Amino acid sequence: MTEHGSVREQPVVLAADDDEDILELVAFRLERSGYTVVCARDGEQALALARAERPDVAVLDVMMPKLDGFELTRRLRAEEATREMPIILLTARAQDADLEQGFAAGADDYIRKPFSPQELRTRVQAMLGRR
Amino acid sequence: MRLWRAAVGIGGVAVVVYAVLPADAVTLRNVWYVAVEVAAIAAILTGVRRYRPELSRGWLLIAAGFSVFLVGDALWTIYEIEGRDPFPSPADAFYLAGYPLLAAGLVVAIARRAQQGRDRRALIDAALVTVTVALVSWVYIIQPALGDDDLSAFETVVTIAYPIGDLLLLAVAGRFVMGTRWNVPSLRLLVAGLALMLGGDLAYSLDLLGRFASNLQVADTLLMGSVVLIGLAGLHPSLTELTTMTRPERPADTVVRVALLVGLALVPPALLLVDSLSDEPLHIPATFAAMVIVIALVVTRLTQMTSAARRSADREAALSRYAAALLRSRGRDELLAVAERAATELARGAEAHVVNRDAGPPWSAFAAPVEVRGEVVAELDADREAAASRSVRDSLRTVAAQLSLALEREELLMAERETAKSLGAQNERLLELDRMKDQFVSSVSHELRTPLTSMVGYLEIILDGEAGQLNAEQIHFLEIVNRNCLRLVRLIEDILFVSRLDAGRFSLERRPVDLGRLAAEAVQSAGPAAQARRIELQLTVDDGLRPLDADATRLTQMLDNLISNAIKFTPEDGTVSVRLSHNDGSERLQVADTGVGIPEDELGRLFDRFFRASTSSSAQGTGLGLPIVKAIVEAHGGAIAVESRLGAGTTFTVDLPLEQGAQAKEGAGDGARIRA
Repeated sequence: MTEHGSVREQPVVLAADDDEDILELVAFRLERSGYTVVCARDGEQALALARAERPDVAVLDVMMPKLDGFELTRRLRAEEATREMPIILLTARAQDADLEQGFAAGADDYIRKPFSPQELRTRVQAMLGRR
Repeated sequence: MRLWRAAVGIGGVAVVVYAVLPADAVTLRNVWYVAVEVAAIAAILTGVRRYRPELSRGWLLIAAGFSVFLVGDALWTIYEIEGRDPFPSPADAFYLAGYPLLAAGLVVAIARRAQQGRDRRALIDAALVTVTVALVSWVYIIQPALGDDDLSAFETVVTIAYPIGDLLLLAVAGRFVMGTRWNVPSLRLLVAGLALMLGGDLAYSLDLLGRFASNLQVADTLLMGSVVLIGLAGLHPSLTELTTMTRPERPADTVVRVALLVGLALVPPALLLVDSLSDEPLHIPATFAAMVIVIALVVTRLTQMTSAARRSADREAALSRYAAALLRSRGRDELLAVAERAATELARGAEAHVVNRDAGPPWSAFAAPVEVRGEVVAELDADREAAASRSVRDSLRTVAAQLSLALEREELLMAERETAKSLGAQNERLLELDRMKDQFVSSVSHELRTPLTSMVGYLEIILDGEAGQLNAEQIHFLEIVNRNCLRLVRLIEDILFVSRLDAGRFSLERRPVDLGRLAAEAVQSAGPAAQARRIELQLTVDDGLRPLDADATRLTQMLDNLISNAIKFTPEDGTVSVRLSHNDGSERLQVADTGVGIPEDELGRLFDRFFRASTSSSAQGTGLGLPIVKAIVEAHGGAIAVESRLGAGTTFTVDLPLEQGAQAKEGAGDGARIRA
């Protein structure tokens, strides 16, 4: 845990997915790449962690219990503290309509499942570099 | 019938023999006449016994009239044999008694036939004939007799009695003839017989007054003819119909009938004209009286005709008005109400009502059936009194027929509505099922993708060596696992795509697209696969390609499918060439390989789902690639063709029209222009 406002050694990534295996895959890849990863298993937990940890970037699954990725994105965008946080959505729903819905909710990027872990890392890096 | 034919022969011979008998053979003539009379009476009695008419009274009265004549003739024969010529004599009494009997016989028949309604037309017409003939009788027979000073008072009375008897017979016979149809042989014979009888009597009367210088032989022959004809009428089988109660068939007013009326009306003035021309004394009072009566009758008759025409027109108008009302009405109850109103109006106020068939008796015998599909569902009835009138019954029948049609139509409409409703519901269910299927495919693909995500992701990490070093064999095997995982992913993508295609939810997002750039990217991403099998991948793009209005994502999918297909089916060291060129208002994409080729008889099925060419056993695929390519091409308004030679290679040619936007807007009708 790092103090709010202090300079963090590593960028913090919030990863949220209800599938434990995928969550571990995301965490492994990003931790290996030098990020601190905080994991959430549903939307509400992710919202709580986002408020508490102020992550530098969020990788959120769309289909999650309690709060889905679209709604979670909308809530994060609505809050002062997380308004600027880059958000990458992960989804197994591959239709164009979903994609548009994601961007409309305020997501910055969108990765389709199944994804290449390397590609995920590249995208996260891109998000952090942009900031 | 054989008996009747024999009787016809005998009657004919009898009349001819009588006509040629010498005038001075007085006794023979008289005996012959009496014998024929006896035969005629016997014929009538035989006919009555044989055919048993419903009312034999009528015929028996006629036979009685003849019998009375017979007695008179017998007496007369005796006088003639004795060489006497008494006038008046008892024979005259018998002759005169015969007329009322004959008239009564006819009245019985008329009464029976007229039972189903009065026929005022026949009554008036008969009265017209009678009045006219009465006028003629008055002028030429009765008045001269009255003014004849040679006759005693008694002689005058008897002389006048004959034409009066004739008039009585004429009046009754006229009514009989006018109110019926001439389709009964017995009736025709009877009427012809009566006509001859009147003619004979006229000849006699004129002779009596010395006005007509005839010999009495003609008069007697006419009377003999009348006896024979009436006898034959009584012997003909159709005599039963004269007194049978039948539906009165009233002939319409024919031209003949109207001409007859006019002719009769002209008789009184004609008489005056004849009298004045021949310097006879004018019979002003009688002629005037007759003229007044004739005019009154003719006017009544004409009024009747016009009012009948008006009633018929009113009836037609009401019928068509209610027919329209029935067409506008909906629902059984409303239809029945309209029909009842129509029938009530047409029955001239007598209340009409629809009786349900299952409501039980009583129905009047005149109720008109209401039928739906050949089944009587109800009856239309009016008060008994009104229903007895023919025009009311006709109206009831017509309204019932209209109601039947309306009810049938109503039933058809209801059935149609039911069908439409159930079809709608069925359609709704099918759409729901389709949505469920779509939902199912979508969830399944989602559920399949989640585990694949882990598999593909972890494989990559392992193959990247992030989880420790692997030996070459391990790497080889894991690559096989990886390749098959990716194949599964592609299969899921394709199935999802096809499912959306089927659901009609496949739409293009058109933007200006540079096909050359898309082709270059596709070739580039297929590079590794081609290199792995040492396949040369060439791209040729002609100058001046114009941008297409197309969905870039779908065109990329199409290019990927075609190029990866070509690589898949080309042996190592082969060549796959991608070429872009212009072709008649469209851009042409050709993907050619030097692969195994496709047998000619399989080319037609190449774009069928899950079809695999017999030469493709070595390669892997979903069997959905080419159907998807074809769907994408056709969604863009383009066409795809394939050429192949076994062992030499295959070329796919795709033509994508430049003006897709215009084509989509202007419709298929402009296809020819766009293609040209």
